Amino acid sequence: MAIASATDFALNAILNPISDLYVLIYGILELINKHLIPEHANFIYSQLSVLLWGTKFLSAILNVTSSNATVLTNFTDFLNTLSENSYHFFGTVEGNSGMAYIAKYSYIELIQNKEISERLAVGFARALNNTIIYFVKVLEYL
Amino acid sequence: MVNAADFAVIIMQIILANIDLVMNSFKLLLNNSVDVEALWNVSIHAAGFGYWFTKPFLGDGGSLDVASRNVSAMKNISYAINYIGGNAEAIFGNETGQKGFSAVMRHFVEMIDDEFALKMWNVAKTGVKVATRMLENINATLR
Repeated sequence: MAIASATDFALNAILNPISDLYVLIYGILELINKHLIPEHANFIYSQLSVLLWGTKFLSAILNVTSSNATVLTNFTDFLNTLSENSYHFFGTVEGNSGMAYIAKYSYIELIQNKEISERLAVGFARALNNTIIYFVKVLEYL
Repeated sequence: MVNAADFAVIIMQIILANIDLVMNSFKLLLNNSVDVEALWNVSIHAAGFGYWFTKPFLGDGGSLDVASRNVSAMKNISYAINYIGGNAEAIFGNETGQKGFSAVMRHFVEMIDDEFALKMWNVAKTGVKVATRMLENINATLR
């Protein structure tokens, strides 16, 4: 039973939230960029430290998975379940099932709806502009 | 307050952590319990999703395409380029490696030793083993 059209879902559940996310990104970064001063070089340094420990965390999980028989069995179960269901989970290049189906209809909605495509393009460019400035600003202070 | 040397240390640590991450994932993929056919099956379907996922960003009528024809969007891209262009030496530094990213890279290069190079080649060697395992029966997996 169809509960909504695929393009309506794409617009309301995918494209509009992405547009809001861009606003959130540039809204926060524009404020930070205005107030970032040379004394704040450790602001980005601290975030790199979090990235470092996040990477170490993932690495430790993979290490335990490959060296512990019980965890390895669970991983292979996960992989086999994902493999058996990957047509319905990821879908295919035809875009007739899974996440590929949703992504395909997001693309269709995007090329048909000029208003959302322009809003997304401007939001994307503004978020990109502020992200670039945020990361290069710290290099100026070194 | 942190300086270029501190940034070089953290970047080195992140690269070493990434080498460990890749090495540990290679170790997992080399384990005989991990089914190569299942990996290919997941990869092919994930690539199908990837194809449709990138289209709204990079395809005809996608974000980049629309942005390149939209005055407001291009103004924002220009701001970023102008900002970098106006502060190029402060951001990227110069050949002496005293400022910006060049200073970070100078300290980074000074830290590279035998152990680091050895780790890089060990990952490369294990990567070749993984690729060989994935490809040795490819004609039976993909027909």
